[in-house]
Amino acid sequence: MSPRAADRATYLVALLIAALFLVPLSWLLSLSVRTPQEVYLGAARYLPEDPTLENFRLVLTDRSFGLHLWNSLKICALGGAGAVAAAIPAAYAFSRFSFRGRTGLMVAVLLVQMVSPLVVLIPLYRYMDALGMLDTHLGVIGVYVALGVPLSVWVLKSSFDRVPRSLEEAAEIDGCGRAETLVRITLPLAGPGVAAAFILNTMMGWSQFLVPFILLTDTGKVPISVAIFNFAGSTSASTTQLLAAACLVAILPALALFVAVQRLIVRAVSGGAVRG
Amino acid sequence: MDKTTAEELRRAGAAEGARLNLEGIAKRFDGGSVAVSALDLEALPGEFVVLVGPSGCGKSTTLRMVAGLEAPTEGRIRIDGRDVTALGAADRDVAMVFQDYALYPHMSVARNMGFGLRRRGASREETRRAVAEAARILELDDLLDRRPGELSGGQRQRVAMGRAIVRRPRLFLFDEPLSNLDARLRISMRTEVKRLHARFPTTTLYVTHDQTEAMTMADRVVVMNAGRVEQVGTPMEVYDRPASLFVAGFVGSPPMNLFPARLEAGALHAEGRRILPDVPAGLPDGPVMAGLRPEALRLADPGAQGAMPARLDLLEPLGAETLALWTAEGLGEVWVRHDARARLAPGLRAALTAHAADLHLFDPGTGTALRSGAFENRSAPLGSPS
Ligand SMILES: Nc1ncnc2c1ncn2[C@@H]1O[C@H](COP(=O)(O)OP(=O)(O)O)[C@@H](O)[C@H]1O
Ligand SMILES: [Mg+2]
Repeated sequence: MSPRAADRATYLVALLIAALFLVPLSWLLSLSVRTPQEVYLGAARYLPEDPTLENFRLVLTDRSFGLHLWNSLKICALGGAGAVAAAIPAAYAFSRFSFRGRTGLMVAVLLVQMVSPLVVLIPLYRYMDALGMLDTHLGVIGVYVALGVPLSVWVLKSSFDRVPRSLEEAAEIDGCGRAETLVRITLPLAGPGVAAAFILNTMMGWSQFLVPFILLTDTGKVPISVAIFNFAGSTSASTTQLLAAACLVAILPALALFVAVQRLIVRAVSGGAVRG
Repeated sequence: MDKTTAEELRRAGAAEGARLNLEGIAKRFDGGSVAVSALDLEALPGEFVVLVGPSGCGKSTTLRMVAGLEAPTEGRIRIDGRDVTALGAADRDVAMVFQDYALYPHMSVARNMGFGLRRRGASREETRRAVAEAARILELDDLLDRRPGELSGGQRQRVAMGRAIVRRPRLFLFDEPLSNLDARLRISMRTEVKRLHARFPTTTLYVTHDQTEAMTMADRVVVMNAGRVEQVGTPMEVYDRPASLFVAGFVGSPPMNLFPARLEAGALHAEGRRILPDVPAGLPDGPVMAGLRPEALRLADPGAQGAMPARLDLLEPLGAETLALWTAEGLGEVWVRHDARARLAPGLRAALTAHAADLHLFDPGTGTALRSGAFENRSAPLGSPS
């Protein structure tokens, strides 16, 4: 295959993958600007005749919507920060120390990432119950931390790998202990990786549904994803257009964040070495 | 500086800097590779000691053990008599200039230079003053607010040295600090490092693979090969009396011409020719490795006794002198140092000769020197007592 043909094939595949995500998203957009009457026309009229922003106005002025957004932000940001903090020592050890079974452990960490939270949700529920942490944000944050650690370890390890050891040795000769070197030299230089790990975790938390759905019952505490579900389940079908608008508003922060920082993430995951 | 001067300095207490002793240190890496074995070395206070040897011979490993970045598998390291083998780098009060400079990319030049002082508890004001002083000496005043990424290679190199001198450590370590610079800059930095050492006579251990750098900078040269010390001596001792074939072939540019030969009844024979009569060695007859420096060979009358017919293969005019590669009967290919005005051209057929007094002889099996040329006698300075 010629390079140009290969390029075209790559674009084609990318387009297909994008379509897979964009079709439902555009459907959501279509629904969110309809009047209740037009909702019943379904796919027959993809472009509504009389588009309206009324649904967005209703959603955004709803007090409880703001509360749920705030819940999401709090749980996700703290969960992301916690995961990064917990992953730093492990990632540093994987990057800097050579010990027996290092590669095996790295793979094991990745395997944990593959386990769906669904599988552990029932035992998790019991743990949280035993700990008295059901229906608390702290409990959910704890689970987010645990779920975020594997990916964080990998992202952080690869960005620690890119900080030359001689910089740490120079710091050691300048009188720093290991912890001080980590805080003053390695972490600042691995900054893009730390930020990327934090943002990836926060976005994963944002899209999390099952964990808060199971662990939180107080409707005032649930994040936006669960709140929308509750809303959909508890009211008549005539709210479909409101639901669509709410969904769009809910994914907007994550989307905006991703667009803003995608360069950073790409750089952190694939970038070259730090140079001194 | 020769041994006596350093000794005098030490007695006078004039030298800043520590005495460094390596006692039988060895380093075996986890994979089982032996980087350094049973190395003994003493650096006197204020002395500039250069570790030189081919790539992979264990120079960096030795330096890193002294710095405390690598733990020796065996042996002791003493600084001013105190056993520091078990101490980490942070507790040894040494400064090091790395080959890649290892400047902190996220800090300004000023913060790079002051970092060590601050970490060791100096006040902001003290640090500022020390950094300003070092920056003045190294002409870095205008660069203090820049980041390392905004500097040229030579400037980074100077910042790395600045970072080392700011702390006024008792021991300076350099790991091939000039190897990333272009040739011209390397030569000027060589001078600058020496000038700096004259100003702050701190004990210095300097690693390089470049024998010219070693010869020009060192008070004492330590020639290393395959994890072992081949010879320790002043540059001239190492040049005039190489202790082994390895040193003879490593030191000097071009290095010593070496060729297999035989001693027979006090004369040197090679390829069936009698090359040199009257070798005053008192050695038994048998095979030897013979060595002649490029300046020990001269053009000769083809009819003269012991003259070896030779053909000139190529010329390297250097301006002040000309190097020529000859193929000579008995010697094989040899480099000869000629006067720049000698009338030479490739293809020229002539004869070469040497003095028996300039001959180096080595044991062909072990490589150890059996006899060294007598340069030091002939080149004794005028008026010195003999
Ligand atoms: N961390 C290490 N692990 C294993 N072997 C090493 C390590 N560092 C150096 N070596 C080996 O030790 C030998 C000496 O290395 P080094 O001291 O860096 O040589 P030099 O500085 O003289 O070029 C080399 O053969 C090198 O491959
Ligand atoms: Mg080296």
